[in-house]
Amino acid sequence: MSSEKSVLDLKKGEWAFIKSLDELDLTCRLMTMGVLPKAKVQMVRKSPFGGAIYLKINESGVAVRNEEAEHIIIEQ
Amino acid sequence: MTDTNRRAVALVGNPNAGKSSIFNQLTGLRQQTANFPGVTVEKKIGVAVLDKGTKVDIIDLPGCYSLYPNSKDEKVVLEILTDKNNPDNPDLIVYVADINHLERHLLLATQLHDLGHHMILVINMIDTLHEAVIPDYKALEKRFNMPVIAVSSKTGDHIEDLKLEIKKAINASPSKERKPFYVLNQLEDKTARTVANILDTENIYLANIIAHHYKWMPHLSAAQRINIAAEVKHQGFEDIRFQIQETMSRFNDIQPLTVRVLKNTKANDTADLTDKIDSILTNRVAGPILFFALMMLMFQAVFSWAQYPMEWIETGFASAGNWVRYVFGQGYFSDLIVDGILAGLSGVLVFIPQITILFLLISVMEESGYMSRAVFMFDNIMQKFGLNGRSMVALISSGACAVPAIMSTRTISNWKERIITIMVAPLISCSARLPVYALLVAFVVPQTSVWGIFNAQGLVFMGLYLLGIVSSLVTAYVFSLFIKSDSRSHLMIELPQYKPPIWKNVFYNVKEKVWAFIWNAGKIIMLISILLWFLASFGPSKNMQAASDRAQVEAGNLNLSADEKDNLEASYKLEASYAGILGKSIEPIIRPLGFDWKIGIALITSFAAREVFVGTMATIYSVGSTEDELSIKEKMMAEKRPDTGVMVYTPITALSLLVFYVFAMQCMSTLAVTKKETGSWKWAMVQLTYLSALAYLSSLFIYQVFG
Repeated sequence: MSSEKSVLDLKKGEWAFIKSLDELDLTCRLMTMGVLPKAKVQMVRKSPFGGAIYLKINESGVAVRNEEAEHIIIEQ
Repeated sequence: MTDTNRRAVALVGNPNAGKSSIFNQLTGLRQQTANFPGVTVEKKIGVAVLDKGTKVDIIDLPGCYSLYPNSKDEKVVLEILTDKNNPDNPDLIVYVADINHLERHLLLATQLHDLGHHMILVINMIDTLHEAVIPDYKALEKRFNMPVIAVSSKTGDHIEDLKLEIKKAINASPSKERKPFYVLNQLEDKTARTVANILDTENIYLANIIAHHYKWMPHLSAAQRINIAAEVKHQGFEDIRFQIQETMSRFNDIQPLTVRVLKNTKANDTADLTDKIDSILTNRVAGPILFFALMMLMFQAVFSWAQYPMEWIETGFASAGNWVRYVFGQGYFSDLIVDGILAGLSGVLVFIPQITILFLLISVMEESGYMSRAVFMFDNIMQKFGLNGRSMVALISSGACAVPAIMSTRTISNWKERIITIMVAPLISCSARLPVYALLVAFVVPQTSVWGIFNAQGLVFMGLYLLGIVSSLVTAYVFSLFIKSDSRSHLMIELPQYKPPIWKNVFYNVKEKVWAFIWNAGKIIMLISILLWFLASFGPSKNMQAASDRAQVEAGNLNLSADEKDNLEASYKLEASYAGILGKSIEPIIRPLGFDWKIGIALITSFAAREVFVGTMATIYSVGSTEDELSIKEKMMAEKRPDTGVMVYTPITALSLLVFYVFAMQCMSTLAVTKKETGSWKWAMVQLTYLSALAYLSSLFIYQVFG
């Protein structure tokens, strides 16, 4: 588990493909927002006071909290 | 407005799909807002004229991502669309999807398709396409086996075609041949078939959805619920895992379909611009600074620009009052109309400028896409106090007036965070406290400067505002420990591309908010205003007569002018009235705070609105006009306790009273709006009780410790 990287490990401006979503409860909600396996995800920036990040998923902007983002696992 | 014989069309789609714009395009001014029964979810209904003689009801359902709801709004949509007997169940669904997010927006469309709904698919925002791109709508039409119309809700392009298509569809029956997007797995299928029997439906997918949600769905009978529960348990039906499987499988179908429709061309050209704007507006340093600058502008607008129209309204009512007194003469009838009804009406209408300006600015922020950025930036800080990023905007606008601020919390989707925001909003000092602060601050400190630069009274003012801000955050935190949440708190918010606001939407939004306030809160404000008038004008007739006689005699002895005599009489009568009796009877309770019965009366009458305090003080000290602040001050300064001869308004009494006004819920309009927005008196009473207790205890502390 610890070897897997989440979108939180991306640096500002970096992108990757989503591998999986690893928390059942959040998965459904994230998927309806377009956060799907195989989608391209880019870390746009962190929120000014921390706690949340600005992502681009296939070109659409989505903001998620860190504790939500750590369940978005990316391909290495 | 709704006619039972008219066919009903429901607008369904994801949030930000442009549903409301299409609703406005279809219905124009023929629309109104209500709540769905039992929940505080907004229901917008209107009438569309399709062509001469053909009208349909349009209902704009709340934005919804899928048939697996995460919010109250989404639950309402699910309830309506899965229950044939629901009064809002439509004859036809007009499903709205944004062409820029076609893949995501088609998820719910495929689910509704599988539910067998009679449906038209509307592809919105085609104005954002490059001219060279011609999407293959036929591919959609073929797969969904339903009409597909491409429109622009912004420019109004093809809205007429949509009307014609609605007319055609509503008179036709839905195509029976549908190839489901999702084929149930074996276990789902087995469960769903039994559930379908229990529900007496032919649609297996509907049965499957009910098997997911039977626990909370209100339209099921107790027997159905028990039977479904037994079947679900027996089969080992896995709620969340099946839900994920289904969603994945649907996207597997949708992805190639959208590629075929859009031919892999990037549809939008505003993405780069949005990136550039966001690199400033959500920047670590510039973002918050610009946000606060914008909030200062908003505060300024509501606080000071609204003053002019508010004065016009007040002056207008004052002249109307004079006219009534001129036409009907002096007496209880004129008094009732002027001091009861007109005062109440003025108390309602005077808020309109503030509400209008605040919602104008908030709608522009919502429409342009900025609001979700503000939520993104401040979510973390506000979360620490049990609030939401959106609470920030509500609390700042509360500095002008809590009424529109509380109304603006509708955009907070988490119920707990919304309730807490509503509860603490009145703690932020609003503009109505200013006259009270201005009158009393002189008793606390003289007009001197501190360290040569600060004005002492200005510092007290600042202290009072800070006290409000700090206590709102602390109270929010305390509430967050006690209120149970009905759902897990999420951020997960879309950051849509920036676009200029559609002014038509802004207009309808503002108009709707103003009407909602006038009709719902207005009724309560009127009632309380008339009640307060009654209390202040009537008393036991013997006492009232005695008060009147006493004023006559004293005026004679002192050789007062006619005006002065009237003022003296008004003062004695107020003392003898029911309000006066109440004021005197609460004296033992407020004595420990340093207040006498005169302040008691003012506390009671200023429950209508805080600024009434100044007017009541003027009447009690028989000063004719409230404009004459100086003479009220002089009279108050001279006031001594009859028994001890000690000054009534010592600095500590005044400070105690000031702090009382920082906390106390002295505003019936706020109370009325809380009741309206939370849907019950319960929260309004919680608010009234805790704020009154807070006010009482703080004043008690100040007077007893420092007095």
